[in-house]
Formats: sequence, C-alpha cells, structure tokens
Amino acid sequence: MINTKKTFALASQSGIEALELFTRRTAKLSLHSYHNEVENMTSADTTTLWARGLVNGKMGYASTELLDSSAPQFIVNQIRENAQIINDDKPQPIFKGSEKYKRVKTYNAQLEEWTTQQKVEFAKQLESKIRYLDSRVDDVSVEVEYSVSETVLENSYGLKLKNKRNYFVVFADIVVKDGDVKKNAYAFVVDNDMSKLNIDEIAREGVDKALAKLGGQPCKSGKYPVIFNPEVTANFLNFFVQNAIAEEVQKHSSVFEGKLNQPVASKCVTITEMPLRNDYTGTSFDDEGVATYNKPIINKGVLSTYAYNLSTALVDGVQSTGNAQRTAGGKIGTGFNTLVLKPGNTREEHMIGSIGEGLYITSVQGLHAGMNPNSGNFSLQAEGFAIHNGEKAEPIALITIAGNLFEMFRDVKAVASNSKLNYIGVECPSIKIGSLSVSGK
Amino acid sequence: MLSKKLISKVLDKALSTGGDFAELFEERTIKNNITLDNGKITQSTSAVVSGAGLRILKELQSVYGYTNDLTLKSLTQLAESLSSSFGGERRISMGVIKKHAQGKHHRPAIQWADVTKQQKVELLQKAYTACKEVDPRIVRVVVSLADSTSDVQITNSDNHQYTDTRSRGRISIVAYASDGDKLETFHEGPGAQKGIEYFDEIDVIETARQAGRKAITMLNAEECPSGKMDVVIGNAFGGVIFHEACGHSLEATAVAKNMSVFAGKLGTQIASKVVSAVDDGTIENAWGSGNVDDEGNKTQKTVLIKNGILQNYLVDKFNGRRMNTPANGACRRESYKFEPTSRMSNTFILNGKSTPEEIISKTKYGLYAKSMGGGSVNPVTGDFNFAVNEGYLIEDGKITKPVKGATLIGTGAEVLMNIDMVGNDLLRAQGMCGSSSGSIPADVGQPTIRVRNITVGGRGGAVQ
Repeated sequence: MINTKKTFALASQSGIEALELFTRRTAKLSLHSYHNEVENMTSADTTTLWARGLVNGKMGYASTELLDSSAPQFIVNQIRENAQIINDDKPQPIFKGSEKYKRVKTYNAQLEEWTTQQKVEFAKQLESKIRYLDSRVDDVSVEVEYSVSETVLENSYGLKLKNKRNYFVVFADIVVKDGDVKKNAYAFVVDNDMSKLNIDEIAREGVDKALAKLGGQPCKSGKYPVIFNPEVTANFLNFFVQNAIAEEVQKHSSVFEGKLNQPVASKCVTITEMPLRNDYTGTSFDDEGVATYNKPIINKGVLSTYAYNLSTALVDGVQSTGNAQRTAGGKIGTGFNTLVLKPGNTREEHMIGSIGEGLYITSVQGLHAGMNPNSGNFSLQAEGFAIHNGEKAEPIALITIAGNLFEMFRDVKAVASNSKLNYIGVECPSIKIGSLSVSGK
Repeated sequence: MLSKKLISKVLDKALSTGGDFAELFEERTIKNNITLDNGKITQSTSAVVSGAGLRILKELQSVYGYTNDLTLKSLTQLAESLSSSFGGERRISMGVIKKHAQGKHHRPAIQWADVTKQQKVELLQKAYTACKEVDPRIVRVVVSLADSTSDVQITNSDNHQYTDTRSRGRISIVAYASDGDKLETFHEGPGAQKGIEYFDEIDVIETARQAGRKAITMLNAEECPSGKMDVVIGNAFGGVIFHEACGHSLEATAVAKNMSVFAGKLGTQIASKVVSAVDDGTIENAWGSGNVDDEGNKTQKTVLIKNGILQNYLVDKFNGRRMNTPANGACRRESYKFEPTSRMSNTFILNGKSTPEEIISKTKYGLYAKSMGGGSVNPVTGDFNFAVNEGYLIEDGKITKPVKGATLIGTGAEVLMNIDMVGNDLLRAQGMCGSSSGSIPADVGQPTIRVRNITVGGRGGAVQ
C-alpha cells in the first residue's frame, strides 16, 4: 500500500496546494458453468490509487496501480506536469467536507459466508434446471460473481471517508432452438441480499424469454402505440436524465438548458435519485467527498434540479448536489446513483389491454450508436411482441423503432405498477408511449 | 519485470494440482490523455497500469486470477488459490525458461516518453483551429490525444518467455455544428502504433477540417427514409459491419461452443463470390498489430473468406482445444485484468474490381452510407444494427442529398450473401473493439461495397 502520510508531505513540499487521494481495493470471484462443469473461474484482487492536486489553482490528475515506494514521487510529478498545461478558468476545488454524512448499508456480511463450493453448486443447479425446463433449450451458460470493494477518500484538509460494498451477480444466458432457428435470452439477479435469489424464478424467466422469441418476424412498417418493458424503459431513461447534468447545460449541449422548473416530460413521469438506499448501489458520499441525498430530478414532468459537482456548482453559484463521479479516465465528472422511475397505478396487463394495435418492446440494441444524445433522435433495432386487440400476440424481431427521446418522454401516456432494478442501477416500471415510427416489412 | 526465478516458482505452484498448462502475463503500461475543449486544455491525466494475470488450464477448464501486488508471496497465494480448484495430482513441472528475442516491428520513430506535454498541446491546438475555421456554425470542437506504452512479458509452462512493447497514439476530433436550432456532431479518430510522427504523416489538419465539414453537411441533412433498399457502404470505417456481423462470429470464443452461425461451416460458401476477407495482425505499425499476441504466439495474416468460401476461424489456445485446432496468433486482452481469448486484430474485406463511381452509378435507388457509426451484433442469431453517421440518398445512379438518422439492421449471414459489388478503394480505420477480454484496439476496413436489400430504419417516412 502507498504511504499516504509521505505522499501528503511530499506534495506540500512540491508546491501542491491541496491533494486528494482516492483508493479503491476490489476483490472479485467469478465462475462460469458450462455443460455442468466449472469451465472457468476468475479471482482478482487489485488496488488503484487516483490522485489529484491543485497547482496554482489548476487541477492535475494521476493514477497508479504500481503502489510501491516510487508511487508518491510519481503521483506528485505527474500532478504537477498535468496541472501546468491546464488553461481552463473553471474553478476546481478540493472539498473540506460536508457537515453530516448519512449511514448507508452497502455491505452485507452474510454474503461472505457463501463459499466458492456453494457458488459452484448453485451455478450447476441453475444450469440443470434451465436444461430440464424445456426440450428446446439448446445451450446454457451460467455465471456467478461475487465482488467486494473498499474505498477510501482522503485529502490534505483532513477529510477521510470510507465505504465498503459487496454484491453478487447471477447471470444465465440461454439459447433455444426450434428446427434451424436459434434465439437467445438472459436472466440475471444483482443484489447483496441472498433472499432475493430464487433459482426457479431465474430459470423460468430466462427460458420463457428465450422461447417467446422463437418465430419472431418483422411487423408491418407504420406508426404504433408502444409499451416498453422495465429494462427498455431503464435504457431510455438513463439517456434522458443525462441532460440534467449541469456541465452539459453550461456547455450548451443539453436540451434542458433554461428548463429548470419547467415541464420536460409527461406529468406521469417522476424520476428520483436515491443514493441513500440501503442496497448495493447506495453511497453516502460522492467521488469528491460531498454528502449525497435523495432528491427528485424530474417531478411530475417538471425538471426540479440540475446535477452538480463542486466545480459546476461554483459556476452557477449553487451548492453541489453530491453528483460528482469519476470518469473512466480518472477525471471528476458528474453522474447519478440509483435512479428510480416512480411506478404508477396501472397494472401492466391493463396497459396492454388499452392498446388495439401496437407493440410490446422487450429489447432495443445499439443505443450507443443509434441515439444522437444531443438531438435525441434515435433509430434502434428492437424486438418484442405484437399487441392485437389488447392482447400480447406473436413475437416481433428485426424491426427498428425511430423517434425523438424528448418528444417521447412528453408522450408517455401511462406508467405501470411493476418495477425492476436494472443492472445499470436504474429502477423502472413499464411505460406506454403514444406513438413511435416502426420500420419492419 | 519479474525475474525468471520468481515466475518459475509461481508457475510450478500453479501446476501442483494437475493443471496441464500455466501462464503468467505481466504488464506495465503508461497512459496519457490530454483534452482540448473549445480552445482550452480542460483535462490532462497520466495513469500507470501494472499487474499480472495467472492462467491455469486443465483440459477444457480454465482458472484465471490477477493482482497488482507483484510480490512472490502474493503471486504464490494466487497460484495456490487458483490451483485448489483442480483437486488432482501434478502432471508437469517447470523446466528451464527460454526467453525469446523481442520482435522488431511496430516501433515508434519517436518514443512517447520523449514527447513533452507542450508538444502534445501544440498538436491539439493545430487540429482545433483547423476544424473551428471550417465554418462559423462549428460551435464547439473537442480534441483529445491519447498515448500509451505497454511492456508485456508472457511466460508459460512450455518454458517459453516472450516480451513485447506496444506503443500507440490516437487523436480524437469531435466537431459540433449548430444553426441555432439543430445540433450535429461528427467524429474522426485516426491512430496507429507509432509515435507523434504519425500525425504529420496523416495530415492532421485535413482530418480536422473533414470532421468540421461533415458535421456541417449533416446539419443540412434531411431525415433518412425507412424501408428495404440497396445500400452502398463507404470504405474504411464502413468495414465495421463486417467486423461486427461476421468477424465476431468467426472468433473461437463463439465457434467452439457452437454459439456462432458460422460454426461447422469451414469450406462452405458463407458470402457472395465477390467477397474475400482477412485478419492481419502483422501490418507494420497498424493500430491492431503486434509482434506476438497475448499468449505469445506470433501474429499472422489469416485468410477468413476467399471468394465467398469460409477458410479459417480466429483461434486461441484454450478454445482451440475444444475445436481440435491450433492457435493462430489471434489471442488478445485489454490488460492483465482479462483472461485472453480469440479476438480480431486488423480485419478487412479485400479489394474487388469495381470503382466506387461505378457502384453508385449502377444503383437506381438506395442509401450511400459513406461513414458508419458504431453498432452491435448478437453472435447467436447474427442480428446486427449500425448507425450511419454520414449518409446520402442515391436516385437514378446519382448522389442527390444528405440524409441523417439512418440505422442499418439485418443478419450477418444474409448481408454477406447479398454483397454484389466490391470496390477497389480499400482503406482501414481505427476502432476500439469490446468483447469478453475487454476493449482492445482493432482496425476495421473495406473498399466501397454494395449490399442489396437491407432494412434501413429512419424517421423520414416509408420508401415509396
């Protein structure tokens, strides 16, 4: 481990005005069962140090996994070199600390008792269950992963914050075959509460999803009312909410510019950020050490706040909303923790029942390329089911749905009462959209 | 880098419970990234990636572990814990490790460690100014430069040790064009296994101007109509469709487990006769090349498809066992944090006989997808989707107007059979390819091609 005391001392001698060290140790075990054997097992233990520091008011960044005695000097040198070339005038503070931090339970000690052997047995059992559910199951692979991480944020103002988090992932990928046609689907559970793990439910869900796709064909092109299942809703919502990030607004690249306290979505849309929830996605402090809090981002269709880190908050003369998040490159950006779309009162069946001719969409592909995040225009490959006379009917595949993200969120006609936490940390029910363009046959 | 003596101890421990192969992959990488956003340097980061990954194979089982604690104690612990999952008797022991001389290809003329931050800033400013000056409607330009230098050492229980140094540089230029109402972006991202000299060779000013001009063109574009139509796909990054919809399905990762539509199809026709394609990890200084792959095999040029007939898959050691096929230098990983597997390097469709002009003039009505964006594919079904970043309508054999928002969808198997014209203007372009062993640099490429009857999604109404 790096000697933090030495690093702080060296930094201060070298003219670094303030230094922040952010260390994360992650241990992970994942195993992969195939043909009832553990085909692969991976275990990992890594520690990364992300450091940043102010030199003449400019922020320099450095990170390292080489945590030997050379690390303090490396960190200090790189921070100085990198800070020197910054000529952006935006203030980049290092944080002295919030008054109070709420406790969030993100670690469940019980999970440590789940032995490797038990995980192996679980994976094999799940694989067998899936195989015996239906003769059309052609192939199955099951992955079980356990991860635990400890984070320490420390800075030269004496702030020191810690967080420990663990979770498991169970993921089943299922291929079904009917004649020459193959289709696949997956089912998964991510949590740190073992009581949420029901082996029969995962098997049933995955097999049903895959079988339902058999025989999928494009539908006729045209405009249809559409229902998105929770997973598809989560994917769109995640894109939509990024527009509330203050940095994008300040750079004039968000359509939410000038829309604070104004309607940006249909009245049935309420999106809340819940970082203080006691589950594996929660956190009591953000990546700059600011205390987090639960808050609506969009309340009954009205944009109620932008998401700030310390730097963008200073630009607008407001307080940080505790949304600082480190980007892949190490720099502090902005992001959300656990977004929740408030469920409505309509049961999903009733929502389907309200549609004469339409589509129930279960997956969209290619969001990273087929969605223009600035204009909101999208054209995406999709699959799901037709709806005829209020009933879910034949499977639909290889169609594209096209529309505009912002128009679409204004066109949400109803939000269902079902809800599921997606693996991207977004909890959503199904939603009904008035109309989207569909290109099929 | 770790000593042979230490590695030998660790590998020997790894083999103690019946493993038939063990390998230690050690890496030290230095990465730098500088971003210039609308004329201001807003970000400059440096990072060291350092650690080792240990792999043990026993017949058709593999265990993998990694750590950045490179002490004998930690690595021995890792070997112990990994080997404990095989409860058998030792089959083999370590012998004397033979170190192979490092390959001399793909070296930069100027080492990245010798380039100052100021030199990098000047390069970024040059690109920024060139792009910004294209048109007053270019409202924002974000330019970034990423360089990395990676030393790897791969030692295995066959008693071989290989080393390689991979040095890469890539510039990314994103132009934002706005007329006050609409906002369109366009991205150019050339890169190579070269030093800073690369950016003089490619004329970075012209590349930056192109990004600006294309963003402006798309500002004037109408929404693309939707429906089935013939699509002419431009060269260079147009090859992303072949990469995604065909290349991934030729990787042993998918083929070994029968998870690929092309499994069991060697020697059969999987593409139209005008299609020949290769994966070539040996191209000098190319983005996806290497002297050796990430399990130490020499990289090679592998013919994938010849005149429409499937010739070879891309095979790594582990999946090769299930397929009874030797590895062919195509085993890669993002870093020591990933178990390596079969991956593409520089993969492209070879030149045909038509000129791009001929292809357009012989198309009565269709879409000219000049620049492609990203996409994805489901390897089981072969279903794919791709965004078109720069598109034009073709009417009566002529390019008539720019269109935007188009998506191409279909299945890989179908598209390969429906390619009916292949141009003579092969070019490669750079991308990052994401899959089970992480995100790795890879070249895609092709000449201009025409595909009959693809489903095009768009917001401009159905084709008449």
